[in-house]
Amino acid sequence: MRRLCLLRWSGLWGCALLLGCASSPSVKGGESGGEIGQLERRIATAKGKLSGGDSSSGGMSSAAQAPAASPSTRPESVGGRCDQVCLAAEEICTCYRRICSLADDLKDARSNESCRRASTDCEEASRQCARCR
Amino acid sequence: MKRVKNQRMLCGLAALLGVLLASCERGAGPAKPANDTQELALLTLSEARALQRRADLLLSDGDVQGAIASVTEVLGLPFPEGMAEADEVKLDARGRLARLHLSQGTAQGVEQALTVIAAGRAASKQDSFFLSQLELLQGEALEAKASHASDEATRREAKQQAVSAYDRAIAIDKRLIRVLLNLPPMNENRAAPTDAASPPGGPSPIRPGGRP
Repeated sequence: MRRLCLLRWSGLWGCALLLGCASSPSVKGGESGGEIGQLERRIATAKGKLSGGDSSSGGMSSAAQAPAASPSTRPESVGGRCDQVCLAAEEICTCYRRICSLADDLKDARSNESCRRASTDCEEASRQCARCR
Repeated sequence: MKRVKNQRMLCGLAALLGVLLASCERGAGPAKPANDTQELALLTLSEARALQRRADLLLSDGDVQGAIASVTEVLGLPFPEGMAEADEVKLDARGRLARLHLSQGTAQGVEQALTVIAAGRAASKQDSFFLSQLELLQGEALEAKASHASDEATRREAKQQAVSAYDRAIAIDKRLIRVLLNLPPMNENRAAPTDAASPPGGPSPIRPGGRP
């Protein structure tokens, strides 16, 4: 009799736990990602209609990075780690050329020193880019 | 005996109800505010994108002033507090604004570009590719200022300041490269040129993240 009672209670507790787990909303990454994706598509479509713009994309990261400066700047695609290293290296070397061009004109010790340092920085950054690839 | 049994059963049922309620409560609570912030973040990012796109269209019609007005609107968007991308979106907008002002080829355009850049540098909290771009742009703007200057002293000063701006761009890019390559922070004993508009606190948290 006592064993039967124990069995009955453990059965009830088991059911309660199962029910509880089933009723709690799951927050899996995939599901929330899907919801965000759906939201992004909805917003992008609405905004696209409003502004006459492109409504095909609009993720959080692309929205943050895509409307990059002017057409004269570098490619807009955000590549991998090495692409970013190489783009930074490219920018360092651009600065180096401009500094040295200005130093030629200014002909002062400070600008010449900047030109010398920038030359070293450009070489080092180019090496880091090459090693990364 | 029967009464004791009934009491025990009631206690058991109450505990059962408690478990059910607790497990229902567990998942429902904090999700909504997070979703609201996310939605607001996505909306503002999307609006920034739309404004930049509108500027593209206006530029394609040759309406530089319209494009400037559209990009300026990005700076007034109500980004949610603590949103990581907000700083970059605004720096990106300031960079574009500065280029648009510079593209006018006037001394006034140069001054406007320099004002926009100074505001961006002052507001920036951390190193990023967007910030290094802004430093590079400042160098370009100062070179343009030198070309518009009527006297030799102003021309020379603007060129020296341009060298300093390019120096700062290099310093930021070097730090970003080190973060990307997981190298330890460099010992910055080199006399890094700074000025009043530099971000406070020296080398700040770095966010290589996006590229302009």
